[in-house]
Amino acid sequence: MMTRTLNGGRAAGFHSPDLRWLLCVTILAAVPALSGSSYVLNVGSLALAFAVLATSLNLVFGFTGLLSFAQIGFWGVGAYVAAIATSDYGVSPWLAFMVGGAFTGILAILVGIPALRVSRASFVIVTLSFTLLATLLSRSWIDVTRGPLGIPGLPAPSIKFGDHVLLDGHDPLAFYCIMLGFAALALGVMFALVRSPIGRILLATNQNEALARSQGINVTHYQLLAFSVAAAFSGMTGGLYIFHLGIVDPSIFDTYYSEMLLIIVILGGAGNFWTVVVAAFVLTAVPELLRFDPELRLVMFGAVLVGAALVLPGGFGGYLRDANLKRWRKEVRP
Amino acid sequence: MTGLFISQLVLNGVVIGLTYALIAVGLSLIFGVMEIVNFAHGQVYMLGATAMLTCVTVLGLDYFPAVLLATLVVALFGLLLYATVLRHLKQGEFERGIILTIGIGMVLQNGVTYLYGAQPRVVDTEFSFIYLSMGGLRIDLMRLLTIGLSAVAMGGLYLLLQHSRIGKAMRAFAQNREAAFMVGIRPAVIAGTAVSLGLGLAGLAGASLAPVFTVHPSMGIPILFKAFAIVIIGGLGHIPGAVLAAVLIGVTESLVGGFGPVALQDAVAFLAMIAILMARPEGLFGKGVRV
Amino acid sequence: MTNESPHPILKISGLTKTFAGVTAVDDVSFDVRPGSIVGLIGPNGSGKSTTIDCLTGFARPDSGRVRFDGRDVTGWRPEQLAASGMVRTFQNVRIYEGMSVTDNLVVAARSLRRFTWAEQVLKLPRVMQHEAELRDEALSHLRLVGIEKYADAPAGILSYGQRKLVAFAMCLMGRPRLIILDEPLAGVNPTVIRRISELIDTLNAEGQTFLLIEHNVDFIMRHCGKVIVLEQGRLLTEGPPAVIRSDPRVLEAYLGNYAEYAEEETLHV
Repeated sequence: MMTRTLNGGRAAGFHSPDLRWLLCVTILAAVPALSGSSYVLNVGSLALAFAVLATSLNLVFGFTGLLSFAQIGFWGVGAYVAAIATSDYGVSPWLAFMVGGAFTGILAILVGIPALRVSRASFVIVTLSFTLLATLLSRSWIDVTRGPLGIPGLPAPSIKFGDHVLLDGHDPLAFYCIMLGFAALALGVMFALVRSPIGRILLATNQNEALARSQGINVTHYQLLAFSVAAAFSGMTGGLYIFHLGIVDPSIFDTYYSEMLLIIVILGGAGNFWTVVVAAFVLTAVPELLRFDPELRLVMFGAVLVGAALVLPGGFGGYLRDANLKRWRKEVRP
Repeated sequence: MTGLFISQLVLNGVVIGLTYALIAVGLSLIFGVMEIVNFAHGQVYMLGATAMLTCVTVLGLDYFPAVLLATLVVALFGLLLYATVLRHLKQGEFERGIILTIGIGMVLQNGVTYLYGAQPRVVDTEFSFIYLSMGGLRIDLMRLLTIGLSAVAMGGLYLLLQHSRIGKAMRAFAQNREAAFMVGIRPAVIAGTAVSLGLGLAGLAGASLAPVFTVHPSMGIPILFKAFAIVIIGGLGHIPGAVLAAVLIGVTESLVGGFGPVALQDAVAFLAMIAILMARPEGLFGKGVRV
Repeated sequence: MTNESPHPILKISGLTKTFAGVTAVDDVSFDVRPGSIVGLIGPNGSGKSTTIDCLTGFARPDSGRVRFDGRDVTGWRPEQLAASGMVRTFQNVRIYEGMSVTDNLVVAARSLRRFTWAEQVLKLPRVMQHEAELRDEALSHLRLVGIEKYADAPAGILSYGQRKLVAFAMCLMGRPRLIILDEPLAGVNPTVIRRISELIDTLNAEGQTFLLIEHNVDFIMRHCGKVIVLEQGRLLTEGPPAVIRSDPRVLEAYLGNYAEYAEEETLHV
């Protein structure tokens, strides 16, 4: 580390950690495909869905600094929109999940404008209320959602060439590959966003809102951008994943998903792109390995959340950043 | 007939509204004093109901002792929670407070599910299935008792905040932290009392409503959603505002439910919250939010 | 010295702001001509900070008008004012602690934001080329303020004085029409004071307009062509430093108390 110069040294090393993490994630993603077991492949598909969801929450919370509980709401709404599009309007699943994402992306702006009017506290409350309202409506707005029984018999995404089926979404491996392609695309877009000048502005609005405003940055516009992009990807993930489940019902909004998502982002380190992606894989796999009572598992997760918030106030991401600051201090003032 | 129907709906709405008020007031009190949005508040309500269930079915207590004991248990739990966990929160650690309380909520909800199971349970007391009618309006005794208990609790809270030393200290703390140091009560005592009181109120709501509805581990989630909307509508941290907003939402929901679709009834609180945020972001009754 | 240009770049008339019944700023009027350095002084609580907040959009004046660069900007939001070329620093220094020092400056540049969001995310060559130009500009400003060796360090490791220099350098990005410095010297050591002094002179010689809020009277008297004195929210007097220095009202209202502030300040250093 002593060989690193103050000028340029960091810029040169800037891209290589990303490559290392990318390699790490690629290996993790390859495991289910290589195992060939349909059980492992199904867990892998869920892990990929969580990776995209967690990264979208990371974009809003970790980078932009807005704690959002709307992600699972968007995932569920996207799922319902995609399911209704295929079952009521005969839209192909390939198009339907994108319709779901477009819908939630626009919905996020409508929810975001009032949510951002007052303070960060009101944002948290409005986003949580949004998800809870979506849950209630999925049960009670029977004309649209068909109530507690949900919409069963959804087709799987597949590619046919004449009579020849090239890709059948019913097959766990095929669906895993579809999820993998989608996740790579979604993570790629969000990564590009975070590492672009816009990502830098998102960080700026998070770190010092008043300073950002004094420099001509329209903070609300950028917050809405992040919230809407994250919502679109959450909606698309939900819209795609239900074609794997074959049915959408109110359990798509289960608080289990919200809790898992929060744990992934907090333990993974809000504001760190790759560690959150890795945490999504690890923390989706862990419950499958720990085959004890699901309630006790969640009690344990809750305790871990409390412990993490007590011991590492800034989360794992904060710990990494502090370590980085310490290293720099040592170099600058030996 | 329609007049009577509307009166019945309003009456039902007031009952529901007062229960919302108990929950929202606790939430508002904790936010005002500690600047914590308590995400475990719904689970605390559930804890109150579960404690009531235990008092009645396991200990075999009558209605009033059972409500009292269940409320006390939850208030004590609040004190314990403050002393072990919430005490560590510093000012301005808003997100950390939310993450902590969510973790606590998860432990409570899943712990209760593990111990009691997820199925809904009925709490029978000596007052169950007694109906009173008054000029055609019907109300069951359980709900009437709930109204009475809510009113007593709210009145007690009002007297406490207006006239006792600790109550005044809490109000001072909510308005200005620096000024509060002059009251001469340690901030930890003020905050601990506020948490204990706030949770106790939610516990009372859970305990008194347990015989009205059924008791199950996820019962707190929809009611927390209403309570959040109510504290925003009333003005975050504004206690009388929360009470009025709660009754307003309760009555509106009941009327919408009587005449409109069920889906719209669920959406009332949310839509009202969005409307308030757009038109009067500081809430109906004001108080600037500091975050 | 006061520029003879007929049109002031900033013109404030009848500015009034009350907080909960207390009038923090009471009917204050003054103007700043292009190319000049104007000083705003007054005892603590005389309404300097509120005045600055009102004219940079962080507080909404109850009455009065603010004209900037020929436009009525009363009630504009901070981001609109900044976009029109009025930038400020903050009394309790603000920087982006989690970013590198260079990134702090690049974020402050308004010109990168004229590209569409899509262009920025795709990092089109013209975006990257402009970014490279901004990095060069940032480096030249860092050299000017003398902290170029920290260019790639996270801003969070910097000392208080260095942070003030970063905040100053951020203002220089894109050369704004008017720079407002809110207590640039408070809490910094003599070396940094000297450096900031020289910087203001150098930049002013190049035509940069400044509005300075400071407790350090010597500093104000040395740099400013015009000094505005506030007392209890009102404009006490304004004029060239020589006149202000000998005005008995100023001596009584402000300089008489100065010893106290000087003590206070040394405690913070």
